Amino acid sequence: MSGGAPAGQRLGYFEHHGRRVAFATVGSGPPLICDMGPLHHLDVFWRYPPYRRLIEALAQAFTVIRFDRPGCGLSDRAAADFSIDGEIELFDRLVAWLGVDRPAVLASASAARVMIAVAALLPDRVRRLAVFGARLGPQSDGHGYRDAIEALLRTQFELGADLLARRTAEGCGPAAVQWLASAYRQVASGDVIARWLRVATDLDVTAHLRRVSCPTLVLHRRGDRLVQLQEARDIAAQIRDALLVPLDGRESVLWEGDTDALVAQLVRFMADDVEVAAAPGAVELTVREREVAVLVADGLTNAEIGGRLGIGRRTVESHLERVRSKLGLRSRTDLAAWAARMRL
Amino acid sequence: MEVIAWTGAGHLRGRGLEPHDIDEELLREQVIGFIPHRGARVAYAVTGTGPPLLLDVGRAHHLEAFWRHAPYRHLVRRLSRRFTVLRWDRPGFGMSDRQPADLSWEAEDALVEGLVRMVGGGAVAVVAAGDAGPTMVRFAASRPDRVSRLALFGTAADAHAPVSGLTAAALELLAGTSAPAIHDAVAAALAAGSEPDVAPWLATALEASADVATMAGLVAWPAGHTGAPAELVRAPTIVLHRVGDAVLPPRFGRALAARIPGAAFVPLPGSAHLIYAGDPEPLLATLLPFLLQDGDGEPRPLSQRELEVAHMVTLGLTNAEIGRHLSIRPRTVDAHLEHIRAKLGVNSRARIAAWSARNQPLRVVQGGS
Repeated sequence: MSGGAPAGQRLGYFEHHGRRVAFATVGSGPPLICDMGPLHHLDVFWRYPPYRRLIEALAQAFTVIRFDRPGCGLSDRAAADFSIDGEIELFDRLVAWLGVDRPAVLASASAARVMIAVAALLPDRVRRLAVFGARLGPQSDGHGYRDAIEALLRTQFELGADLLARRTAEGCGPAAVQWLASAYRQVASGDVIARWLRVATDLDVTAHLRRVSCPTLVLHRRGDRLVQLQEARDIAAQIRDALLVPLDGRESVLWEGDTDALVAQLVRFMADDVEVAAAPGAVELTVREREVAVLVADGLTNAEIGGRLGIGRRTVESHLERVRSKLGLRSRTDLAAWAARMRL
Repeated sequence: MEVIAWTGAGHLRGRGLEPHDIDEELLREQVIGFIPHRGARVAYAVTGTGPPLLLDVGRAHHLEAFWRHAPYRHLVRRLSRRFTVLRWDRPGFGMSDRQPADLSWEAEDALVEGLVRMVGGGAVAVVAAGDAGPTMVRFAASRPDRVSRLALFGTAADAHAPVSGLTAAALELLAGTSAPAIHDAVAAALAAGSEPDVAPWLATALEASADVATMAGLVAWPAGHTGAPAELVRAPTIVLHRVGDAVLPPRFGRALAARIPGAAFVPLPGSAHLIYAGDPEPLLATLLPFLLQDGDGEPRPLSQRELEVAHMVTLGLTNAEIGRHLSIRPRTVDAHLEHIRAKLGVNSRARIAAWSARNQPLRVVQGGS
């Protein structure tokens, strides 16, 4: 696999309930869905160096898939549905559209609770789950604060976004807080942000923890003052076979501060099931299989592909056969469509 | 093969890191898991790669609070470069479920058995210090098939070997009153002879580890209970004790070694009672070769890269200079040196240089900036 930095993110859209949902892929390797929560904007965040550095580091090991929820970011700004049922539908649709079978998921902050619920309710859909800065249940002291921010978001949007950023970027430097405030002003309307806050403050996944059956990694910065390490411990202790990795630092935002140890732990955790991934029926393609798939999608014949890659036509055929059986695809056309959707 | 390329090494290698560096990056943090045991979730941590090693530094433990203490973390990391080191918090302590602690020998045996089974069920190497010593002596004696090598540090055969007259009496008084000061008192008692910053840190770590009642129970518990059947231990055993141990005089360690068939007693310099205090080098220089010894006790051969590093030490180069010559990072040089020390059973650069000068043909180091 080449070690060079990915050139950029590949943006795409899919339809969901008549609305366009934006997603982006970057890198290569097994699929990793990174859910940063609804307050996300594929383009605005991508242009922020600390965020981009983290995604690019992950993209060295994974095909990183990010998305903006309906109502947010680059997706259609029509009504958002933040209910757990809505989240499950959206996740299902995203996974089906990408054609990935049981992707790994990294979910940060409030999105961590959403994805814990998704993993619990769709046990066969998530291969591995990593959460960062996860809170266990509703914030005990959160309601007064939420009500105040909600009111501000609806009446004095910029001030509300600013206060929200100050709260969310606990332990981060002033530049990070300032950037987050400016990003919040671009991710969604005040009304949508306020509605998400309402959902996020009350979302309690305590009952779901015991039903999460995929391997789970709980990452948490030990100095986080927004969510104490003890909550991460309680989450890890209640999910079967979950692992907890306390990390140095106090930034409550995933991409701020030192992320090297975080990436190393994440990569090792996701790689622990290499044998599973390499088994027949799983979707991960080898580098060569991926190259062959891309050239098929480009419309080349097997002979041309062999010439391009310096391998025999028979070898190309056997690669293709493996690709088709791994992905459960019958025809070259299906394969080309899959490759196009994955933006290979 | 290709599958391996994306397993992560790719990401780190892309930034010019060697496998050593990847291991080092992963060693920056511990991975904590939870196993169900008798209705409680027991927190454990696994670090490093290699054969399994159980490291038990004492009953009142807290994986995270201890890990945050740099000298403790240093010790764990050094061992983790050669072993898959397993540590844990007992039920009622640390990051395990805080149910009432069962301090009985039977509970101790069952927990260790469960942990050994978790790491594969074969024979494991064990390092036990302080009040964990009797537990592990018992375990090694009752389950000879489970313990391949046993290293005991700063401990005694009897659970309640006198700590030092006055302190022990004070501890019992404190245990009786259940005052919160008990954590401070226990920390102060255990940290006697250690660096001055150990006691205040240990007080907070113990406070994180156990509530007042549990701590009081731990202090009061061992009275009247005797010991581990040390005579029945069959695993190769080493008993380490600092000669100036200000908490438990070394005669206790010597007596323990005398009871275990074939055990070696090794006095170490220093006065710290705690395994993670004082100078770790003499300790590691004895401990690692003992734990790594193959059946025949022959030292293991150095790799090509280790031979190169050893040679450069002979030339008097610093780690930074060696790193530049070999285009590897200083941390990687450290790791190589650690392996060399462990394999040769030596603890200084001078000894490495001497060994290399004796055993390696002369060669010329080229280039470098």
